[in-house]
Amino acid sequence: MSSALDRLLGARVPGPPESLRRGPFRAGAFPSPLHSERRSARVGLWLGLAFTICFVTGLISHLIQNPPGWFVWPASPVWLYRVTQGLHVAVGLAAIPLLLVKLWAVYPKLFEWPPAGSPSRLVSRLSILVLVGAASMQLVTGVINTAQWYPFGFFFTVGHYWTAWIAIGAVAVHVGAKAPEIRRGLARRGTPGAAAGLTPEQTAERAAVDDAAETSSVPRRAFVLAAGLGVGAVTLTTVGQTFSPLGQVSLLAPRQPGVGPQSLPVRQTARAAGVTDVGPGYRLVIDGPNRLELTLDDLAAFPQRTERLPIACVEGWSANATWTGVRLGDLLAEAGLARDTEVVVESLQQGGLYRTSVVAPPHARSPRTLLATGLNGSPLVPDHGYPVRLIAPNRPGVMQTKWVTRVTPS
Amino acid sequence: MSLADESARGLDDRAAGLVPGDPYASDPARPATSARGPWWRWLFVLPGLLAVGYGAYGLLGAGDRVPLSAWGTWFVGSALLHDLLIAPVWIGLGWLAARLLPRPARPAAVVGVAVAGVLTLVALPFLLGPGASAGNPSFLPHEIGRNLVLIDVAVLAAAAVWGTVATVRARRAA
Repeated sequence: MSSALDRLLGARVPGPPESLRRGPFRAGAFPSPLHSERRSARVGLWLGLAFTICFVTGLISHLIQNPPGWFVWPASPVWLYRVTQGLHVAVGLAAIPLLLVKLWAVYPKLFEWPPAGSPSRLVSRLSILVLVGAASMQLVTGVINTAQWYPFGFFFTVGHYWTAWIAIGAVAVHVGAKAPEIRRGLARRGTPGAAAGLTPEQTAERAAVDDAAETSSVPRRAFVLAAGLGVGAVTLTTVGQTFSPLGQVSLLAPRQPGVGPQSLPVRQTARAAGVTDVGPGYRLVIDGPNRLELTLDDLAAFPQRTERLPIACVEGWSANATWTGVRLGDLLAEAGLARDTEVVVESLQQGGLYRTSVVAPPHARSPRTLLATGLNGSPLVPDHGYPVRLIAPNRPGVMQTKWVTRVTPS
Repeated sequence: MSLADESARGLDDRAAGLVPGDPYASDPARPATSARGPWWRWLFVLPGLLAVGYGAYGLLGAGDRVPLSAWGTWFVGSALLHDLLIAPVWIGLGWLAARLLPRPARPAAVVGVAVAGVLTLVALPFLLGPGASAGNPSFLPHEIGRNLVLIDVAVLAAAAVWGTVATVRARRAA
């Protein structure tokens, strides 16, 4: 029996006149049997995994840069952020072919006739607009951002972060809404699961489509191969920006580990930051009970340490390097502060969102956190932060402040 | 029934006929309100709605850091980029392939053009945007434009060989 809600949601809404039903709206406009529940569910599984990985790794990066009180990010293992952010960008890039394949599979649904046959169909279609809009926007703006191109009209990090919540939420709602279809599509063909909730007639219709997909002019195998090779090709040509053994192979990657001044890539140059005239008047100030005001010679008198630590950029590239300098903890102790004091590191740079960074206790106390003056065996060049830069383990590159002039307890 | 058949049919009137007394049933097993199950769908729907709401709340609270008109342009524009540009181009290519290519060559064409096409899309922001800067030689160390052309040509050539071999073998077998 039908309840009042059934009658409301299922009420027939009069459609536009049939004479308008042209082009892609015609019955039979999309003859390929690959436009099927089964193919959509299976590509969707991979795409859902990709979005989940991107969401979790993106959230980690957001929390490290905007830590709420309960969040603690460790200083070790040193490579962890390199892996999470490398995955964020690599999986996001791999999601581009997956999203295209998925949208192709369900494209006929865009031309449903009548366009909204009932209130429930209208709600469903609006929810799909939210899903497709958010998912596409995250991938489009993400790639454009890694190209250091900012045509958005909004702050990328803020927009990308909040839209990520909409995207992952819309994915989850979609999985719930399509639960029966997903269950059938993921079940092996011919099993009871593949027929769940269907009449024998509907089961036979779907089985016929899946049979036809095996032998159509572009068969299922070509569809799967195109999706798989698309993902493989995008990954192979870009992942070398963070996975250095493939640095030479990834011919479309925006960075290559080992390529740059002092064999290390640079995100922001000294010229762009407006820090090109560091003279003999330079002082490094450490605020504390015993305030230090150090020249470069003073700094050289402290015990010098050498650490091998990666720079891991939020844009998805990363590279290892050998850094030489003074332990941050040694300087804090000399200034009369505890070694695990949370401090703010300030740059000579006058503007920019990343002029300062906070060094939380796990990183402040880490013996591997340096105020570095040397890189790969020679003094820092201006593009890497001459005279002094922060380098700490397991942190985003934007928080490895360059051209450091002041360290203050926060 | 493919998704195309499903969307062409709109409302499946056969279902209503199968559920006695329910002219609104869209599925004989599941009239609209019986879509309460399977129970696990709510483990996705409810947290999902909360996440969407949280994201919308965050965007509304972001003020001039995220003007809603700019955000909306990219939100809708990104979806339309696929629906009105990428998909029609792909379907147009498919229409051409169905007319110009022998049937055994079509899988190779689809795979080749899909791979070359997606590589082009991914590289496009680097070619359309401001691109490499003289001040920072570590950004775009490879000549992306040249590399993209070379890779695409190689992929399409491989697809052409595959398509030709498949066609010849199919003719011999016939």
